[in-house]
Amino acid sequence: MNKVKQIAYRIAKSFVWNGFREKKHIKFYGVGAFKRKGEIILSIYLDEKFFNYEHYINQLFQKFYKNVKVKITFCEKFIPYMNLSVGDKVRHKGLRGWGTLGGFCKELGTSYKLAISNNHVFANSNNAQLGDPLEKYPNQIFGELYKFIPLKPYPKINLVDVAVGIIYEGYKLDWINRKPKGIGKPRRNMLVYKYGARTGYTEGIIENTGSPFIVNYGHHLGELNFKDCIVIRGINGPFALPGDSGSLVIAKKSNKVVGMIFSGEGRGERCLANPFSYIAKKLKIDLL
Amino acid sequence: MKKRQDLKRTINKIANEWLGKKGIIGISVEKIEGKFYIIFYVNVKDFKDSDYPKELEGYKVIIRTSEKFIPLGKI
Repeated sequence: MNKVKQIAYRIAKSFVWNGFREKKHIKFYGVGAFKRKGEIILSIYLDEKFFNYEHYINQLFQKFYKNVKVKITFCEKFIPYMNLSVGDKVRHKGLRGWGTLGGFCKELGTSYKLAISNNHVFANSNNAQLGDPLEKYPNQIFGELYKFIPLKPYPKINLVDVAVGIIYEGYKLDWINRKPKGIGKPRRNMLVYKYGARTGYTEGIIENTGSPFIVNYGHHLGELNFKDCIVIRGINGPFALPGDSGSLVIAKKSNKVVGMIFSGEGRGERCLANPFSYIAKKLKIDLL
Repeated sequence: MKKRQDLKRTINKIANEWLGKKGIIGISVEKIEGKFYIIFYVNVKDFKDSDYPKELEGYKVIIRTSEKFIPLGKI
């Protein structure tokens, strides 16, 4: 069988990849070989749009390899099979730290599949260009920045810290166990959970809604004013820590998304989320 | 019983006046034993009660110490 493989390899190298493919613009996706009743049969995987060329290709092969039979299989383009899960460590390519992939959305009116997180995770706190690469840990580019709501300096008021990126083809999207059942309203004392890149699955309770807060974004943006924040406290430990930004906050009872984490106290006692209804309205998106 | 909209309006009014002053980094309303209170989240190590009002818009004010809130985008 090794001999058969060698022939297939030689043909692939000399004929399919270097010659025929380039000259005739016919897309071969793969080549293999097997032996049947003493005969060597070459198996060619060809783009399905060249279906009408079957006879022509057979003739060409016979011209070069008289003793080799060819079996042509028409197929679709092969794409890498990769996974993208809620709670993955993600970031804008130019960022030093990592945030969390909150979930998957679709833009109303288009068929784009979008990944959602914060502006300060995907859009580098306003310092990004649309189309910039988005990275999944450790170093896999999974998409590109598509839209973000700019963060406004003090004393202007911010409603959300959010950005979305288009997910490249070939990714299997994983909501981890429970796909949310839509978008809900946050309420005081509501039991909620989230999946974060830093702390994983945690549960918390909504302490307050509709609260204005000041969040310190560091040297570049300084202190920013946020309106209508959801204040969340963890149950049995912190609800979110640095690295969990972008996690979706989901009501435990209804399984509806009520918010998205964007900031917190360093020690993790309380954290803040933006109401998801605001995010959906601002970006004109819905959950996927 | 106060309506949600009234509470929201009250918070926004108080926020315009107090947020960012005297270490106040957040404001909310909380119902404790049937009564609504204004909560000031204050980022000051040794705050003095006398620096803050006892009552605003008919609600008693509770002071809670808090750390600064920062974006949670770094591991």
